[in-house]
Amino acid sequence: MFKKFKLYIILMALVPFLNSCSSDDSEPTPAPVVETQEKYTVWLQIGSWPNTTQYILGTNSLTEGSIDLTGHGAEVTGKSAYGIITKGGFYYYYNTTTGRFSKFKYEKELYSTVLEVPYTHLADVSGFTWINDKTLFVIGTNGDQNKIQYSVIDTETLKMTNGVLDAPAIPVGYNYFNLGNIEYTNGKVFVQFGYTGVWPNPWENKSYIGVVDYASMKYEKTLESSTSAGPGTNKLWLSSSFVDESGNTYFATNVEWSSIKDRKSAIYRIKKGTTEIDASYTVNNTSIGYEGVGLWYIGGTKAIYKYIDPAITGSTHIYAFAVMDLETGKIVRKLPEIPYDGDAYIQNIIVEDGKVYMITNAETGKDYVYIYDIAAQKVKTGMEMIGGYDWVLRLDKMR
Amino acid sequence: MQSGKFIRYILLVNLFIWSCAGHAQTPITISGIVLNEDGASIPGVTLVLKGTSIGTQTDSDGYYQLNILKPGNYTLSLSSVGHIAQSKAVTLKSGQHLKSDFTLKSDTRNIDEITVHGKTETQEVREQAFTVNAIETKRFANTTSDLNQVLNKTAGIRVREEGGVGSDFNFSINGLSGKAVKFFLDGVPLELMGSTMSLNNIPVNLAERMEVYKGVVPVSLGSDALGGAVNIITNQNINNYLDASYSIGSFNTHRLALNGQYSTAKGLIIKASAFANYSDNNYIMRGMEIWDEAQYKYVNKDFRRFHDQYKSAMGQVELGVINKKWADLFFAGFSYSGTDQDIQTGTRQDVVYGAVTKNGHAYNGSLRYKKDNLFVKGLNANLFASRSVDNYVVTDTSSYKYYWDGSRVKTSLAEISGTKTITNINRPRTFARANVGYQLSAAHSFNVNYTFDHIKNETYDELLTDHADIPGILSKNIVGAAYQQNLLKDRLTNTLFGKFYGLSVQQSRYVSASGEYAKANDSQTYQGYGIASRFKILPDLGIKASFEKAYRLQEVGEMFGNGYTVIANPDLKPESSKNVNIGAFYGFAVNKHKLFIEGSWFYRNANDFIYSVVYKSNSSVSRYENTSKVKVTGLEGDIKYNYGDLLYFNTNISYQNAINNTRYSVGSTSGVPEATYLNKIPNQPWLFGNADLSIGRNNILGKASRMQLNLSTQYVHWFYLTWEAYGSKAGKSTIPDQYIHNASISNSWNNGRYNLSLECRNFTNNLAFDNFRLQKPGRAFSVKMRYFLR
Repeated sequence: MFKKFKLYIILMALVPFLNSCSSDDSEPTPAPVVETQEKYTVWLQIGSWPNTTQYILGTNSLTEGSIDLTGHGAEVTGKSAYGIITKGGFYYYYNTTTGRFSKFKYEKELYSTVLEVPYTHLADVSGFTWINDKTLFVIGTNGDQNKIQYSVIDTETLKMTNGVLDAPAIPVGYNYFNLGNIEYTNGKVFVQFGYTGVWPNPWENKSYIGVVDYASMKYEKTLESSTSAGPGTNKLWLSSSFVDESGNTYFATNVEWSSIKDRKSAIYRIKKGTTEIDASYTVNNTSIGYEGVGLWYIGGTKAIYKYIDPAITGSTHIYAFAVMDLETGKIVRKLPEIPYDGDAYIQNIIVEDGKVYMITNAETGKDYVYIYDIAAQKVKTGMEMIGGYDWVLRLDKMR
Repeated sequence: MQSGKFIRYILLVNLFIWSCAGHAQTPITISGIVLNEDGASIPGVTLVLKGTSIGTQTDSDGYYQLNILKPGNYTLSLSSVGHIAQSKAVTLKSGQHLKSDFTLKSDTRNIDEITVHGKTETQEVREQAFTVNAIETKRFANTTSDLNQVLNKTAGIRVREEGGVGSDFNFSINGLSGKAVKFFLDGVPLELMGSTMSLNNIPVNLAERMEVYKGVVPVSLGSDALGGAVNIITNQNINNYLDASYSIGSFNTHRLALNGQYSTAKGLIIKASAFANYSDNNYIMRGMEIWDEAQYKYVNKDFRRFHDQYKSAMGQVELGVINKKWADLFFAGFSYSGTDQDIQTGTRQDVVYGAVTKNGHAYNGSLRYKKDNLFVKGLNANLFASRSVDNYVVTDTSSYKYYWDGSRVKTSLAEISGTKTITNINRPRTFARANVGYQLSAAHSFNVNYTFDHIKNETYDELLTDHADIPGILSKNIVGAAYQQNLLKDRLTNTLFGKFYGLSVQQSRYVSASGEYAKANDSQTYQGYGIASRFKILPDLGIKASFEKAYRLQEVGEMFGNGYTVIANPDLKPESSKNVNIGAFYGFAVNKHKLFIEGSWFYRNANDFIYSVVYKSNSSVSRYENTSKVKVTGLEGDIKYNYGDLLYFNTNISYQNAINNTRYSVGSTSGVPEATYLNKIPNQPWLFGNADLSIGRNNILGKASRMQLNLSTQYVHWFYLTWEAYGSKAGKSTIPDQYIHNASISNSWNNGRYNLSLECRNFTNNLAFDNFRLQKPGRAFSVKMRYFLR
């Protein structure tokens, strides 16, 4: 696509010359459709607490050049957090302090509200999945965190249907539901969850997946595993679940803050058309060799695995990236070219045309977008982010 | 806090004072007021009873009182530079209380060549080597101001309020704010009286004057004040007086203040002060967003605040003696304070609360002792000890979401955090201060100050438990020593000082970064030092310079966290700053014209600011870290002019440039400086000014009456909410220019005994914002009645 874009620029540059050479040569070049929204956005944070501010900045190319926040970009602090839902050029955000559900658009250096409505059904959005391009399914707990509640949202009108899932009661010894991964496939919504006590008491050392029939919103059954614990991560921040091209659903856990002794992360699979955890699929940190915190699907049988490198000590930059094969459950290529990230909860990855574009928060040196060519298995640096930003928080595709 | 109960209590105290007055036997006293030809009081007039060692000076109100032991015939002589001296023969009988007022004529011969004049105490403080705002609160006694509102009119000070009466505020001195600024009441921490006692509710009548020390703080205020200190000084007169006032105003605001003292013949003194505030704070919020279902969008409308009621009260009684062989002064006191407050908004006005409340109670018992010439001549001792209990509770248990029209919808959530909580904070505290001064000679004096401060901090959620699992204990031992020299006939004053800070913190268990419990205690020591100098080129023209390496010590919670959401950081360092002030003042008086100008330049280089940082961006825990460094430079100027007692004009302007001096963020080793390094700190006012004008005339409404009109204007230049350089200008948030104009008219009768004033604040009804999207009150009226007996 970028190649095409470049080619187009070159052609445009040549047009006057072509015209000057021959006036009656060919049909006039059709006028391009003017797209005012940039193709990609990057979220950045600058300043020391309490003067930290987060910004969103657009760009049309991630492969080259640079972006600079000086005089550019829009403030998002006070409007939304960087844990946010995006699709089709819009951002969707539940502001729990004002009690509003908002739809934002970043365009021409402005982050503006397209539509917002009063909303108080959830304590927070703990997980989301798309039913179709215009229907968003979000889950969260009630205030006491002892119920799983949901809303089905029409993203055009922000009209919603709210409800409570008939999930099993919290077992004795634990106080709260812990929610994160949620996927919709084949008429079913899979809701991964765990149980927790009052922090810093450890989580219950189990992971559950609730099966909900979308049409009837009936909570059908609970799948259970004691290989790992908890719900995975909330895709607002980073991915750890997805449905692949062949219809299999993957759920990874993230137990870094579980307080569980000898904690283990795992990846579960629900095969297409079934509503059971695939017992034959035993992928966990023993088989992978590392404890995972995030998992992004990049097409085919491949995913990017974000994991903790235990070899690193004395630094907070412990989060490494690798390409893994979902079928075998093995790392096929580590990505040492990409500096270790300083935080787990970063929306690091977008995928486009066989390439993975990645951001990270490097301990040393400059900030770049890194480009991993899936077929060639090569990493190169792309666009530079100039200016000593504390955090690169998200990379999103707008169109 | 029930204010009804409180009012009863106040009445009892009042009754007690008057019953004492009825039964006591009076000694021989002679008292009165010294006025000039225009009827204005003259401070600093020396009165001597010839042939005796008895003498005094008139106070800021021109009032004097002499206590005489033996009856007889005396000659009372009065002298004041700029006035013709006067003498009067008096015959005093046993038990007599003679009242004698004087009018001194101007000595025009003198005035032409001499500019020295009787200086008020505040004037003397202004001419100290320290950079200080000395504010005489007398001028505001007939207004409904609280102390914040008075201080906010002075140079270098910016008080940012979140709303109306009793709302939270941020107090900054020369660009440093929050925990960097410490508050004192007669030299001891104001916090001892409980968290209720705050500059936003103490009525102006309780203070005689206020001193604001900027950046460099004398050792006698033994504290870790990084950016400066405010010392509120109450009436220290030994004479009997009663000051009672009540005001009623817009938004159902009532303020009551009572302050008095009565002394018996034997030197037994009872002092009492009390205040009570009440306000509904239901001012109009303009252009608030509200959901309109029919239009299916948020629309803007005006609404009255509906959940912002504020009640607070305080009462203090002190009983003691003066002028005994063993003590110049010895008092035992007890105080109670309480607040009861509804919370209307979060940090922005679009976060609306309808049920959150905050209330607190505090008790304090104290002892004060003072003796001059203890053991040897020139050795003065001043001791203070207190024990206080402070408790406050934040209740957030609603299951409703509120909107500006007062409507609500049922939710399963609490308002502030989603989860219902009743947060209790208890802080028992023991405090002691010993100050010893020694005057070696007229030129050399020494002062040593020691403070001991022990606080236990218990925080818990009442819905989960009834006690704090892991209370934190903080002990501070601060020793300060100062040497002052007055050279060249007092023209040159140098004060050299050193401060030693001993900090000891302990917590029975804390949660480490790995989430495990451990026991912890730690003690640390730090040394600060400084110098303050003043040189008078002419008697009324002086320059001054001061420097201090100052600290703000860590708190237990900052070091060890709270055990569940805030984890420990044992490596936390105290905040420190190097502060410099350079200034000059000039006073000038010709005939009735009196002018005083002062200006100063300041520099603050503050390191290791402590802030809570989310430990991992989305984890449930945070940790306090030394996150940032700030460099502030600035200028401020102040001009005061008065023409006799007819006209008074004061204007000041402050400019401060606060720069982010944090080169690398916490934990960063990238070698790339932070984007915001050397950028101007956002969300801070940097240019502001005030102007005050009063015009007064005597005897308009009867003899011994005075009418006064006051006008004041405050201006704050607009500023950015976030970093100026980053993001496109079109979408940036700003806090707009603020112009507030206030006016009041007052009349007093019977030499100030009866006072009535009408006041209008923000009379142009301008939109006022100290903080981003947090509207302050519009136009407000009030009436104040005051009875002042002395």
